[in-house]
Amino acid sequence: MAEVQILGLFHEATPTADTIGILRQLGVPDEKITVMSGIPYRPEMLGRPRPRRRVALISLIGAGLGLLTGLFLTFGIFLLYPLEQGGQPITPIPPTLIILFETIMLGTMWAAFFGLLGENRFPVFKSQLYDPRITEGHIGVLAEVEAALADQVESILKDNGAHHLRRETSSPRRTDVRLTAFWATVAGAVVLLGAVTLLIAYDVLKIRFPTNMAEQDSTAYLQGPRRSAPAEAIPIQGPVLIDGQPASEPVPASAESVQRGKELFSITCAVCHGPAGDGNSPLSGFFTPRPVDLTSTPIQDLTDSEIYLVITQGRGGMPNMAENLGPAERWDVINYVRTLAK
Amino acid sequence: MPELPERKWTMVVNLDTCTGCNACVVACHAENNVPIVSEEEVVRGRAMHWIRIERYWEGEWPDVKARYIPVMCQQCERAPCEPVCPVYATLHSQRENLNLQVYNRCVGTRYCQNNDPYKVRFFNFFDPNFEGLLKEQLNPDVTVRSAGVMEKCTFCVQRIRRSEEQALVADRPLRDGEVVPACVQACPTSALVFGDLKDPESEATRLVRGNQRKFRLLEELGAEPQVYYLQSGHSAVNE
Amino acid sequence: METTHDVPIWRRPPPEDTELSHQLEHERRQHLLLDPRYPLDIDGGVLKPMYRHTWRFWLVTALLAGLVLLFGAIWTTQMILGLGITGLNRPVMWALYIVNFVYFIGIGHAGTFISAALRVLKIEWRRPISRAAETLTVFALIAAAMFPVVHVGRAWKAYWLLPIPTQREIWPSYHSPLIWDFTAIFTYLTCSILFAYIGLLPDLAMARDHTIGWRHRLYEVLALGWRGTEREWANQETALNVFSYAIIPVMFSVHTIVSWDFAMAVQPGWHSTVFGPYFVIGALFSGAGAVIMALVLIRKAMHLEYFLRDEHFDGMGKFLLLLSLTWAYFYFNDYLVPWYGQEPVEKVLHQLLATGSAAPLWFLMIFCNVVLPWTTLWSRRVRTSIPAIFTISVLIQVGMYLERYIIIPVTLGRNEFPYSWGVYLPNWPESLITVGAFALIGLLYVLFSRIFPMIPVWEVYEGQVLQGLRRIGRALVPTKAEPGD
Repeated sequence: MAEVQILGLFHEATPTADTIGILRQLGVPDEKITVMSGIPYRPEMLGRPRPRRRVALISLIGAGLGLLTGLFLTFGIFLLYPLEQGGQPITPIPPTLIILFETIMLGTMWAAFFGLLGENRFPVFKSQLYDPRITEGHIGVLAEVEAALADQVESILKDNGAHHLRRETSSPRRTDVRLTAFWATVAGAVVLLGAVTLLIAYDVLKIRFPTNMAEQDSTAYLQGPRRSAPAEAIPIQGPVLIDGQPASEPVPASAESVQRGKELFSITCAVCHGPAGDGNSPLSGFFTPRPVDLTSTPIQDLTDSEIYLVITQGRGGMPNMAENLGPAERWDVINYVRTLAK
Repeated sequence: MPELPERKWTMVVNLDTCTGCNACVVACHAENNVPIVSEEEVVRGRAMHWIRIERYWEGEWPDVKARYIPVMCQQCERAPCEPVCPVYATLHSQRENLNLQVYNRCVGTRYCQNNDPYKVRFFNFFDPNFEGLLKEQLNPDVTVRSAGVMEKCTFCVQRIRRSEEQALVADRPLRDGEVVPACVQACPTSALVFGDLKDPESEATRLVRGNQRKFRLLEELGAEPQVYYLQSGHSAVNE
Repeated sequence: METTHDVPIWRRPPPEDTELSHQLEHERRQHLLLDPRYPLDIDGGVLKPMYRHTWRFWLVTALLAGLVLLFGAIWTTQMILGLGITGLNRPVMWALYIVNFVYFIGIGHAGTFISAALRVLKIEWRRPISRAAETLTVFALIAAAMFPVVHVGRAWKAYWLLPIPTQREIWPSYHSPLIWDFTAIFTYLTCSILFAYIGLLPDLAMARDHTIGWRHRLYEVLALGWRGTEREWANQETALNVFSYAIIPVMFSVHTIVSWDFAMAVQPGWHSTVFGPYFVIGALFSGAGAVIMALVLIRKAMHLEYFLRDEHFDGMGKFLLLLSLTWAYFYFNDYLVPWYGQEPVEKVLHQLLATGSAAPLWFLMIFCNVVLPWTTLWSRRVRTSIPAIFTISVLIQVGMYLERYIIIPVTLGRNEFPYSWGVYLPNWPESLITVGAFALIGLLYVLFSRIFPMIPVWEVYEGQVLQGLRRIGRALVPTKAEPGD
């Protein structure tokens, strides 16, 4: 059955209320009548039932969500990353209360706003039966009635002083393209913003700043490009001979030597080559090329002397470790690196 | 890494033997790559010395005495500068009782400096400028800080780490006097003594324990500074 | 006064009695809410000035935009060269940028107070001024929120203060008052925007109904399809009430937390328990003054004399006087206790203010914040004189700016070790950035006032419908209907 919407405008509240009363007597239910006005009239003024109000309830739910967010931001973070500061407890209560207060209020108010949008079915982009004079102080009464009653309702409105009557046949609900486009834009913007933020935060999109202090003047002279190994350096098994340095005898791979090598490795090498020696350390992403995988076959295929040379002189981006590791310690590290072979 | 023992690093400053020669200041600059700012900047109040010799005059002319007091980061147990940092750039190492400064985390809010009663934190107003060959003298163990970052005395944490690691590899306890910060090393009158208060036999413990001459700066603030000053008799500084 | 109920309020005839008719005329001149006009005229009164682009408008806009660009250029230079180009030095690590931060946050307090607190208290004269005040809140907060970022050493790393997961696997530390600040300002700023927007919805619908072209399309989207149905009004009212009650404690918390940035520090002169309420009152004081200035300016520039009348400036002036008294009370509290304690370093600070190099600033502050309001604002003639109240408001801004200046760089120059004392003098970069920040607020305000209705028309209507005159004996007395809850 086709429904017809009829809108009439009134000047004042009293005739509006009277008309609504007559329409109700005619059998038009309250939920089929909509009153529109330029200022908020109380329902009692117009003899209307009080509309359902759920915004306060929704904001209460928002307060709960805010509380949870606040708890995560305080206790959650402190427990995830327990770092000591100034002799304060890891999870200090008073600062937590401050954060909880703010997040609860934030949740309350944001929820009240989104509750308002949701309860009013905002935003509405499709055309609705409306008259721009309503914002000039007129009161609009919109009745939605069956087609048979339409003429009668219209005359009631007219008799009671309504002017600028409009009539429209209710169209069946259909999806509104503009609304879909609106929400798609909003969702797209949020996703894009979040994605870009995370990509930058996780260094996928790397922005190099000189103030990151990664390129250091203080270590610049240790970094490549290096000279190639001197002609006198002969990578052979046995003592290593480097021009200007005493010959270095290998240290036998005893359990003690490997143990020493392990600790020296964790101090000197693991920062870049990773604790497991596989080239995966928190820092390795910052190097191009990445630190080599010491467990790999090409590395393990090198002779001990070649590894000794690399530690002593550096190679490519790797600085020389001569200052950090004494000759015997280098052999300890080599013995340990041999145990890493896959 | 294996578990390392708990430490309580402390510095004892004997004011009775300090001559105010500034050798510690120079040594600190060399060891810690502390930028040397221009004369103009010093006039504007932006001098950077992780350790400084404050000079005070005692008495009235002609009976005047110069008093020197070396002031460096006091490595407080309850450091006021720490909790105000929003990004954990300054935080506490419980194990070593050191007040750490992580340059790379610092965004330069400078709140720590405001909340530092000793005013021993320094802000890089400009990028440090080490010209030409000066770069070659930089200590590779210490980061050169960029503009916009706070810095302060670390008790030469790089030397502490190296000594501890050497002891660890050699599988022996750290010996007293093995860790020598640059200022201590340079002090001609041995007015500075560095040591571990957790070690009952250390020189620092011996000097601090029951010493009538000891005091700490602004002790009433309750920050528990870990630098002890020794001075005999009454002095204006002691008040 | 008896009227027939189906005659619109703007068409009701005057009483036949001449005496009463005179009285009515008088009341109408006094009170906006008793002076209803044909709504289309009122709508026009708000909408028409929005189209007016005289050469003065373009000149002001261009000037302000130029200053904002200068702000950007200097900030970029500062980021490239380092903070050394400012006048900061070692004991004085916080200076003009933080002064601006505190000052602008303070300005951001009055708007919310006027629209939320006066709404909760149902004070009727707030109706036409709430939009202008809320707008000032939002723009002042935006300017204020920029300053911590301008202030930090590595501004491009300032996002490390945000609680977002990063590759660094470290989150901000909630031990720090700066993070409390961030949370509070985020809450306050976003909620102030939403609060202003909810109140703006019916006016956007009004603008939508009376415009064509791009403006119509813009308002159509922004009004979200508002028709003014009962459900919409009811939900809007609940939402506004939730916001009003929730945003007042948030407003108090914001400036309290700003004061804690200082009070948490062991810096002498800062470590005070009275700082929280003292700062809140200071914020309201300077904020109320700023609202008066904004009202005077938009009244003049947009010809809103119908809406903004003597009663509004009178009300705001009384409010200002009350805040001046309260501010003096808190300031005296904050002064007396350290003075009585006679701690050496506090003594040094007090001497610096009373007889030292900071004395001119201090006495000027006392004059602007106490002497001037106390000697003038008790008079209704002063309060309702636009030039007088404008001048007083400007001087109160000067006084409150000086107050923050004295608390931050002047106080920071003194501490327990005379060896580390210092004096701060503003250098040109931060001075121009400060000017640029004021220009930014002005620019946003000017542009906003050309796009959005600066008077909450629906609130004025509502007041005009609800308020009336009742005859008691021989006089007509304004009364207010307060239906429902």
